[in-house]
This record gives sequence, structure tokens and C-alpha cells, in this order.
Amino acid sequence: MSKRNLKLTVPILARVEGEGAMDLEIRDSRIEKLQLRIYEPPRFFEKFLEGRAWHEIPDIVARICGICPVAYQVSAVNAFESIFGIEPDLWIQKMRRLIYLGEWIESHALHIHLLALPDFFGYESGIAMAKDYPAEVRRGLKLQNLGNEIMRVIGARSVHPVAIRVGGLHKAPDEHRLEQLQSLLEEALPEAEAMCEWLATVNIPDDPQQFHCVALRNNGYGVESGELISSTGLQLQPEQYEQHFTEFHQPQSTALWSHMDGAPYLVGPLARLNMNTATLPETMQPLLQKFADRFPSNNMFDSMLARGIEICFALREAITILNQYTAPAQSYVDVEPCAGHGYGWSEAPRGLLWHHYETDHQGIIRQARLVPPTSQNQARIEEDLHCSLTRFGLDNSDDEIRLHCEKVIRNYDPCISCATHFLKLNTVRH
Amino acid sequence: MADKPRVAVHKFSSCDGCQLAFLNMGDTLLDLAERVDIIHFAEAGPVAEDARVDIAFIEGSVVTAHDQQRIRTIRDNSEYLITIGACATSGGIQALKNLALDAEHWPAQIYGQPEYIDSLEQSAAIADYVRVDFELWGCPINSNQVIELVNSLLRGVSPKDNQDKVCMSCKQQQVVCTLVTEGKPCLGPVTRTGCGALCPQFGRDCFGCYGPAENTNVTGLSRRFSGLGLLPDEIQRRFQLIHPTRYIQTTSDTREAGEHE
Amino acid sequence: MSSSALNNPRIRIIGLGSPHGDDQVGWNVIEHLQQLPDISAELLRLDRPGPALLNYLSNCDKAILVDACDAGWQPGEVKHLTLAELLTCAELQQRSSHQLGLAETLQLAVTVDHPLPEIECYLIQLANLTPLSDPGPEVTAAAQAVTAMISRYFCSSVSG
Repeated sequence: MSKRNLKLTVPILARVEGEGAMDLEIRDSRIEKLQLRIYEPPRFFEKFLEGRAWHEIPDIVARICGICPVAYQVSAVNAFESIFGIEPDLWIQKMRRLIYLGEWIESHALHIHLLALPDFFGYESGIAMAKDYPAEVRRGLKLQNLGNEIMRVIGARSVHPVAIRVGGLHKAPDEHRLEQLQSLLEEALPEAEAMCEWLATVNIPDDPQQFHCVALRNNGYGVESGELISSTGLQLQPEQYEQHFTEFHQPQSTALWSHMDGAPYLVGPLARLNMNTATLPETMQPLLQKFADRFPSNNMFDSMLARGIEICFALREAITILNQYTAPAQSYVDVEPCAGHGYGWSEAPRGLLWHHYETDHQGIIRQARLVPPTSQNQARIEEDLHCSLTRFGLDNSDDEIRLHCEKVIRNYDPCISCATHFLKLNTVRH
Repeated sequence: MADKPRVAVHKFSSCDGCQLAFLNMGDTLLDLAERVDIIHFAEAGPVAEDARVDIAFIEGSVVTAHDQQRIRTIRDNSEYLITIGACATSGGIQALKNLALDAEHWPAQIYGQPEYIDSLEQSAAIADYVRVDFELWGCPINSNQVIELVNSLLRGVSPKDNQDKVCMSCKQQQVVCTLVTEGKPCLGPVTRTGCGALCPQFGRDCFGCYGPAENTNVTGLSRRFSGLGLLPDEIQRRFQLIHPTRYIQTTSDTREAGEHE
Repeated sequence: MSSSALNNPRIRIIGLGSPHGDDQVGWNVIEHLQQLPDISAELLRLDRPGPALLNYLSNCDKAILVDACDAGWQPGEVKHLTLAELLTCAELQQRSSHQLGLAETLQLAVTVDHPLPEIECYLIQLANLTPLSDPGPEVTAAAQAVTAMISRYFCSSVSG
């Protein structure tokens, strides 16, 4: 049998957020090099946060990512509230959870329908796929729009919303709009469940792997806050993150990589679902029963269905919050800035997002460190590519190999603009 | 137009939020795809970076030597070039590094092996390198701005550039003025409208994400902020946020204004 | 009006609109009129002029304005109004959320005693403003009806 040699280049990885490339070198049927190369230029947010005031931070860090600005804003205010000794009351927690759920719905629906599904149906884009699957794609766009609508009602717009501040929200949302929103969400729930059942029928590779999972738990699914739990048995508060998680710089990448106790690990929807299945509300059980044999899952290709399930969870949770809504006496508490170190995290659509700030006595930032989910997944992605491609088989054609690697990467829904506060694939086969 | 116009969407250094003005359109995205041929839009799927197109939308600022080359190639390949969002129109929030005195040391401080980072000292607007045919300002821009623009181009109508201040928008929607009634340092009087005066409706003052309007009186507004009790460095930071190099040219502009009180 | 103006009034016909869906219908009427002989008037298309409309009402004796509107009438319904009727029509007040609409602009002119020519309006109720779409069947039919009404005015002037 002849040896497989291949040098493959994907200079611009499509249907991922941000700029990434992939390098693949196969020599004599062995993978010599398989690298996810992020080439998006760094924007150095952590440096220009220095010297800014605490109250400016939510607007600045939102601009790290257009798909998950709420995640950045919430992780940031969590960190500052820990420095300034502010405990957000129940109303504030619920409102942050609600707008965050809107972001999950929007991000997941966009990823499923526009970024991931085309691979499994043989289309270049969701737009092309819509010609043959109009109902399914339009349903996805509708759910995406609902997620955006939640963010618009609470935060004025879905990209860089304006409502979140240290101490609460700038203003309580309009109650009439909340009522309308609740009706829309209730009406959409059956469609979201139908979407899940359809997603479960999509043919995916059988690709079990070993990996550690990390997620937040908050008497249930962690979204806007919580304690960190891992499949290795960790239970941590935000200030303990650095004791077990380290960042380091890999050559040929502008994103920092991350290890948990010396090993790669997974954050994101599949990690969350694996760690928190038992804590999902009763109302989710009928849906979960339909996929009981698939979760917990060690097959990253189940991520797409995991996102679908999270959309259903987010809708139900949002409806519950809206059902119990009462207007607050005030929408935020006043802040007395002080010097200190603050740590905060939350579950961005793509996984754990941890922030650390140091302030001076006026609340001016002296130092900042932000660890996004995509850089935390980098080591896992590379490990996955090696395993997955080996199992898929190097005997396949160049195109099939390229597509398989791209599918593996897209399972992680990488957000490269976050990771580079960005990825390009150049494959070299000899 | 007999053939559908060929359209590209290119990303430079950005958060990707302005591309969402396309991807968040809902069903209208599919309508748009019927009216134009999307030749290159990596996040949506089609990749053809060097293709010739009728209309190129550019998101993001120029921050590397490679970016400089890339935008010149795109300009040569595009009939009509439109910048979308703060990063492309003014360098964006990452232009804050342009104001830092020691930005050339930043890669070393954050990235352990900085020789792998190819980064210019300045984040520059697209118009600093190539001719731009139209600009959509905003951080982010919204879907209406894109639809409005595409529709105008499709029908041979000149796109409108509205440089009215946010104050116009507040008055038309009968939103109470935050500067006058609440003494908040609102940038509305010097900022372009286009967002629909969202912040004043949501309980806060404008922080200028749509960029400077025409004929701004930044000195006058700085004095007002000083009168409200803001210190010179606070005033300076107020004008140097989303569009750090556009409201005031030097850090002394507002400092002088503040000191006159 | 002077006697010469009475005999040879300077007439300007303005189609108001925007590039969105049915809102293009004012422009469509102008395009139709441009194809007809014997329209001895100046024809003009304006894109959302707001109060700047007043600049285009000077140096003429009579202005005929054609515009789409959303007054809650039947889609494609046409109303032919004098200035006074326009200003007192309740459904037309404060319809635009972004800028001064036609009724508001003319009301402004009247309030500040800005001189106006004789004004007639043809208003067409739009069916929808779907972005990116062409004008729909109801307003397209209405545009043809308005074109006919206006051209009859000129034919009767010529013969009478």
C-alpha cells in the first residue's frame, strides 16, 4: 500500500467567527503537523483597559466580541462587584440571566443554521441551504431573531447592549415589552423543540474521545454566575481560577492557550450539558428523554444538538423569569469604588469567560486579564484534530480530509476575535 | 441592472459585530441574497478574497503590514468600497493604543513570544490607506443602515449620510434630555445620530458610539462637563472611548477647556 | 397671481418618496409623466427632503405633490387633497418618526408665514414598506391612476 502524503492549505477558514487558518502536513501516512493557526491581529484590550475607570469597562469589553458582548459585560461587572463588595439582588441576577439567555439563543441559532449545518448537508452556506431547506433555515433565523429581541428589550440592541452596569442595570425594561416578549417566546418553544428533534436526525461521525469538561453550576445551569465544576472533581470560586488554569503562548498563534492542571480541557455547550444534565429543570425532561442515550457525550459532534437543547432550555428559563417578573424599587445600587483585586466569570455561549481586574482607590484599572473560552479550547481543538483525523483515515481525498478537519473545528464554534482580543489553516502535505 | 451586483464582505481588525448587521437581518438576509450575489463573506460561507466585485463592505481597522497590502488589493478589485463600523471608519476602540506612549512594548507584555506578533503601532481607519466611497458609522452599525444603503445602490439613488446630532433623535422621539435634566456628561450634542438615541431611552447618557457629527463644538461641551463637576482627565476619557482619535485631536484640547472653568 | 401667471402658470410636479417598497410610488408617477407629451410642467423627484421641500416650492405658481402615505386607508387608495384639506386630515398628522413628513412640513410653512404656491396633493396609501422590494400591485395601479388624473388636467388646459 502506498504511503499517503499531503500538503493542504486552507488560508481562510470559512464559517467561523474571526480570522483563522489551518496547517496540515502528512508525510508517509503520518500527521507531521496539524495546527490551528490564529492570525487575526491582537487588539491589546488588556493593555488599554489600564487607566480607564470602572464604569467605562462594560462598554469597552463588549467590543472584544460582537457575538458575545453580554458575556464580556457580565463577567466584568461580576469582577468589579467582587472588589466593591456589591451583592446583586435577585432582580438584577434574573435580568442579567435573561439578557444572557437571549445571547445564548442568538449565538447558538446562528451557529447551528449558518455556520455548522451547511457542512452536514453539503452546502457552502446557510443562505445556499435555505433554497432547499427553507422551513428549517427560516426557523433558525426566527429563533436567532428572538434571542436578539430579548437583548433589545433589556439592553436596547443585541450587539453591544447598553443596559448592563456595575451595580445593576441602568434602567428597568419596559413592562409592556416584557409581556410581548413572553408571548413570542412561548409561541416559539414548540418550534425550538421540533428543531432539536430534527437536529438529532442529522448524520454525524461516530468520534468518541477522552476529554475533561469544565462548566459553571449555579443551583442548576450556570449562566451569569456560579461555581466552577470539572469532570476532574474541581469545585472553584473565581479567585481560585489561576491555581489550576494556566495560560501560555504557543508559537505561530496570536491567541494564548490554556491548560487545566497541565492538560487540555473543554468548555462550552457540550461541557455544560455533560456536567449539568441532572440539574436541568423538570420541564426539560421530556425533551431530554428523547436523547437520553446521547448525553453525557464524549463525541464533539454532539455539540450541535447540545446547542439546540440549550436553546430550548434558554427559552424555558426566559419564560419562567418573565412569568415571575415584578418591577424593582431601583434598577441599580450606587457604587463606592475602592482599591483591590476582583475576579468574575460567566458562561459565554462558547464557554467559560473569566476576568480579573485590579483597581486603585478611585476605581481606575491598574491591570486586567481576560481569558475567553476559545483560547481555553485551543489545546483541546488541536488534540481533537489529531485523534479525529487519524480515526477518519488519511486514505481519504484531500477535499474530504479538509472538510472533516473544518467540521471538527466548527464543533467548537470558535470565536477568534475574542481569542485574539483571531485563525487560518495552511495544510502542507508532502 | 441585468446581472445581480457582486458583493463582498471583508473583515480586518474588529469584534465582528458589524458583520452581524448582515447576519442578524433575519429573513431579510435571504431577500438580500436574492438581490445581490454574495461572492465573498467568509463568516457566512463564500470565500473568494481576491475576486472582483461591484460592492465591497469593509469591517475592521488596519493594524498590520499585511492589512495594508490587503486593503489596497481589495480597493483595486472593487467598484464601490464602503466602510462599516467604528473600526473601519475611525480605527475603532483599538485605536486607544495610538494614544499610548509605549504601545510598541505591548506585545512583549501580553504575549510571551512577541516576535510572532506582526503588529503596527497604530490602528488606522481604512480611509487612511485607500479611497472610500461611502461610510456607515456606528459601533455597531445596525441592519437598517445596511438595508438602506444596499437599497439605495440597487435603485440608483445616492445614499444619504445623516450627520445630524443625537439631540435631533431625542427631540423627535420626545426623550427627556439627560444632559440638561440629569447633569450627565452626554456626548449627544457632538455625536452622529443613527442609533435612534438608544442610551437616553435606556437611562444613560450617550457615549459616542456613532462618532462625531459635523460641526461639533467639543470645546463648549467640555466646558459644560467641567461645570458638571468632571475633572480634566475624566473629560478627556469621555471623548476618547469608541473613536479615540476623532472627537479631540490631542489630549490638550479638553484639558485646556477644563482649565478655563 | 398676476394675469400672466393666470394664463401661463408655472407648474411643478414633485414626486416624493424613498427607495423602499411602496414608498417609491411618488417617483413612479413622475417617471410615467416623463413619458407623456403635453405635460407642460417641471417634473421633479425628491428623496425624503423633509423641511427642505420648501426650497423646491419657490419660483412656481402651483405645485402638485405626489407621495405615498400610511394613513390607515385601503392599500392603493388615492386621495386628491388641497393644502387646507391636507392640513386638517387627522390621519396624516405626525406619521413620520424620523423627520418631518409632508403634512408637518407644510404646516410648518403655514405657521411661520413662509410663502407657498397653490398646492395640490395626490396621496397614495401604501400596502407595505418591505425593504428591498419593488412597489406592490395596489400602489402600482394607483400610480397609473394618478398619472392619468394629472395628465387630464394638462389636456383640459390645452384644449380649454
